[in-house]
Amino acid sequence: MEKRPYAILLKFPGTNCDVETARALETAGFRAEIMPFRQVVSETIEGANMVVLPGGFSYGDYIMAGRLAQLKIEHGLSASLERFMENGGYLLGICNGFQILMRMGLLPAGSLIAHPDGRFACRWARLRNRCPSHPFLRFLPDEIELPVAHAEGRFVAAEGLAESYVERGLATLTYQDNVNHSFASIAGLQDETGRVFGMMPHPERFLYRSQHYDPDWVGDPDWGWGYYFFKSIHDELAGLSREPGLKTHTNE
Amino acid sequence: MRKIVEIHNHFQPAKDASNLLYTPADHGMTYRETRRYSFQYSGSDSALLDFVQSVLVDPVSEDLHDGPSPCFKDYIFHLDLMLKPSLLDLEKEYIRNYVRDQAYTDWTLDELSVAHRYYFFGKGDITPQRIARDMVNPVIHTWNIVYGTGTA
Repeated sequence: MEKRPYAILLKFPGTNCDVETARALETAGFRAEIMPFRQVVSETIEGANMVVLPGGFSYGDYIMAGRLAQLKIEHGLSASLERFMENGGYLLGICNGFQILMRMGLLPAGSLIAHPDGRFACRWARLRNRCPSHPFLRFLPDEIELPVAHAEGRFVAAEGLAESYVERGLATLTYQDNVNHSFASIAGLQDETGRVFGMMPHPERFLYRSQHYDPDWVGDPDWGWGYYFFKSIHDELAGLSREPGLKTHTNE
Repeated sequence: MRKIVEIHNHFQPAKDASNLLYTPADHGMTYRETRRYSFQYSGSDSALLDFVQSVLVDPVSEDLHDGPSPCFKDYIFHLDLMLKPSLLDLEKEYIRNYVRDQAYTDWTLDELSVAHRYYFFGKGDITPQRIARDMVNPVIHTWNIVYGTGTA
């Protein structure tokens, strides 16, 4: 019997990070399957350990990024997604997936909007891991770098809310050099259960050490931080304890 | 019946209008962008407004301006940019398909047009003609420039 944690990736028209994300999940030990949204039925979701909304675009990001995908999910899968969450499932949204989760109201209230300069940001971002014991982040050090690539990634919320998310531990990742002028520099959020997790940076794009822009990067001899991101949640779902040989990483 | 709504993001600051041009201009003028939807519909006005609020507006970051009047004042001019009616406007089609799928009983959508509106403010050397030259692709766009009450 297959014992690997099972992740399904929902693919909308325009999703373009699904293959990379599936490969990252498989590399970390998951059994991963990409499912076109139209083919997803209740049983598909309820049989998974984790549902992933990968990055890219969805339905052209018309109206606003993630809106049409949110509406499609709510009208087609909301009941089965609710059961999935009640049964302890994990929900991960990366970039456009984060935008969809925000629109669905599954993460603390706020929105992801266009950058003040109106430009698409495609660069590396230095991030602070604010929840080092979180199932998605426990194998990562306090400071990491990951690529970002988005036009609508600026987190905004009603006055004071963003700061409260940081204080309450709901902001899991923050930008060190606020690349998109997000409130409280928020780059990633979790819900109160910790099982819904959204982030703008792309961990799947830093799976291998060789993907780092600096050929002399010394954070890890083989892997990028993205690997440890997926490995963290894999080991959580597989019921494995922290790898004894895993060192605390620094990029000094 | 016809209903026009305009949506703007209140977190977005006014941006430097020279960024919209291909060639350098002074930095005295700014612009704000909105989305403008024109519905030809039958049925309940409040039901249509509910649809607009729930589907087209982000409740956290956006404000809805209900009616044909411009949602900003004191602008020098504004540019409305639309795809030509003969072209496939995917935003319009996605909205129409969504409305069709929902099968609303209290209103029906007969026609929809979507425009992106750019309001220009302040003093500078950016003329409507220059904006149109650089922003409009005459092969695919229709556009409209309207002067406001602001002074250049």
